[in-house]
Amino acid sequence: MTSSIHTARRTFVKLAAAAALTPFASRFAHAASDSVVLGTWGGDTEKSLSSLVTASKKRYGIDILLDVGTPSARKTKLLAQLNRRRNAMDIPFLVDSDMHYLNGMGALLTLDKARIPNYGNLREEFTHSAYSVPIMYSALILVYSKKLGNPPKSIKDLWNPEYAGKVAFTNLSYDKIIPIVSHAFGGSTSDFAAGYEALLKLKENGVRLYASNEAVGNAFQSGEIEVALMWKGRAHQWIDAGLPIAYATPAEGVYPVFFEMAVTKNSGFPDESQKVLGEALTPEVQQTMAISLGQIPAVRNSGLPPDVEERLGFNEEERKRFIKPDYAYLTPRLSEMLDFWNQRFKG
Amino acid sequence: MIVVIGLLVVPLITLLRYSFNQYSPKQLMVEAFTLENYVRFFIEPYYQEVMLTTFGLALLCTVTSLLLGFPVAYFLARTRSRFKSLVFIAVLFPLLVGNVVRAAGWMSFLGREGFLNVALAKVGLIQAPLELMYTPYAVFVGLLGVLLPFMILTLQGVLEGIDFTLVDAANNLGAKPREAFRHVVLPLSIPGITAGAILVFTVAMNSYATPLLLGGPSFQMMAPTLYAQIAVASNWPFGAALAFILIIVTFTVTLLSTSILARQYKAK
Repeated sequence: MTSSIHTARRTFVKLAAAAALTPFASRFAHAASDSVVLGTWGGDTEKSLSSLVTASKKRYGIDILLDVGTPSARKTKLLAQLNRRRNAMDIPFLVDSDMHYLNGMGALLTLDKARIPNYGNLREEFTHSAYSVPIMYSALILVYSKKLGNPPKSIKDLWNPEYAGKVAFTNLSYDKIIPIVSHAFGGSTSDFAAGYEALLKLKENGVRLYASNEAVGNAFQSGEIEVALMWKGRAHQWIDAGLPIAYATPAEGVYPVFFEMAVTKNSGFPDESQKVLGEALTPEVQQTMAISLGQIPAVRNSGLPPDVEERLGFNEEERKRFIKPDYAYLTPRLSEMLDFWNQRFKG
Repeated sequence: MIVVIGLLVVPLITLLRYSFNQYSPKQLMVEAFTLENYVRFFIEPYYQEVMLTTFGLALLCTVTSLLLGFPVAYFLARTRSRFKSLVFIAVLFPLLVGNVVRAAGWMSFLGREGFLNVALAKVGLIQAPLELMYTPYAVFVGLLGVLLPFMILTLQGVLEGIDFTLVDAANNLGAKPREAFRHVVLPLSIPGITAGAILVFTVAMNSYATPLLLGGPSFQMMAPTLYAQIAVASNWPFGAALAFILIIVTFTVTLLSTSILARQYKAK
């Protein structure tokens, strides 16, 4: 009798637990078995990706689940799952240098371009990667206050004593600023020594660091700074908002940063994920993302109105003078660059 | 026990093992048994400064929350007021809000166009906005806001257990209120002070979101620094070593202060 009561109680507890967990379990199971998981930034990027989610469902019947987080959290998650049978993330959305790093770690699938619809839409100069697809790109340019009588024309001009204490960088852009400055000061993107030295001189002149791009905008507003290295799309947003600023493309050329998607090597949905990558290259998705994020489509046929394309993008002459990143040199130095930035430049 | 082993001990042992591995930019880490990650902490002054900043701020938060929290806890323990539950809810309120939400609140309060700057400008006390955000003061205020309830609630529990007829007896025997407090209430509340201080100090030493969101790019504490090593620089072995150094320092300080206070309590 006692035993049967115990059994009944155990059964009841099991059933109750199962009932309580069913909604969650089914949701996880659904996510794990049916949906392609795309790891991305939050905010405007997440919102703009709704066009990709809708289009992929409509055209291929593929459900996409967005995993929102910081790029560093995304990288760490992928690396932590390198040896698992199945990665919880199928498509990482990251910048080009992070993709190169992850590929070096063996985290990414070599793409079969024949399985990526619309791959031919990409500008030819952006088809360099075997493991990732550039979706958009942008670059840091010189943004300055209109009050300046002698505005900067080159990266080197930031060292002009006239701007001492009025130059601003965003803290998180250090991995772009170091190669840009290295290139400007006679080194190259394959040797950061000249860049490190120049940045230490700029520190002596006085340079301001801000936690976010928004904080740089506020500093322009208050007159705290007069020059900054900032994304072109962001400069336009500020101009549209009435901030008295203007911008210039640096004489040394611009250092493009590509926002790319790839497929994890241990993805459960390699074919579906490659279809999603292709869908991201359609004019509809590219237009939505370019307009809402202020970044430049990576395809030739985005169909953006010419005035918008001109405002956001770079002309052919400027594109020819893009500073070429050296990923093989940069990615093993991520730790060294962070140490330089935190300890010597900020410290 | 199984839950503790599975969710705490196993990950900690894994992290400890990582801290002895070698960092490799091309392979993430190489299995080894080296002390180089711990040595790096001691030869690079930057990390010692970060530890000192963390320790100093945690200590300041502990002392300030004790000074501010004791009178509130004393009031809550002794009062018969019908507003007691209202005060209690007010004390508890910061704990009902998540770290990030609380930091966002501070950002809109302390920012250049935040409530405080606007209010001070409106009453004509300032001409230009004060730089309050992204400073050590912002981190201190942000941390204090969440740590104070821990101190108050811990102290209140102990103060409520004190037999206050002893204070009356001391007063009847001619002790002034200050003397009765010093010789009766304070010694009897040492277990509460110890527990509250340990709790506040430990949480402050390990705080992550508040220094990250309110401290700005130039203010560094240990938890965000070790996270950056793991997640940004992908240097897991050094990040793991920093985590263990933080655990060891927190644990040692806690143990030392507990034993000193316990000895004092016994002496009384």
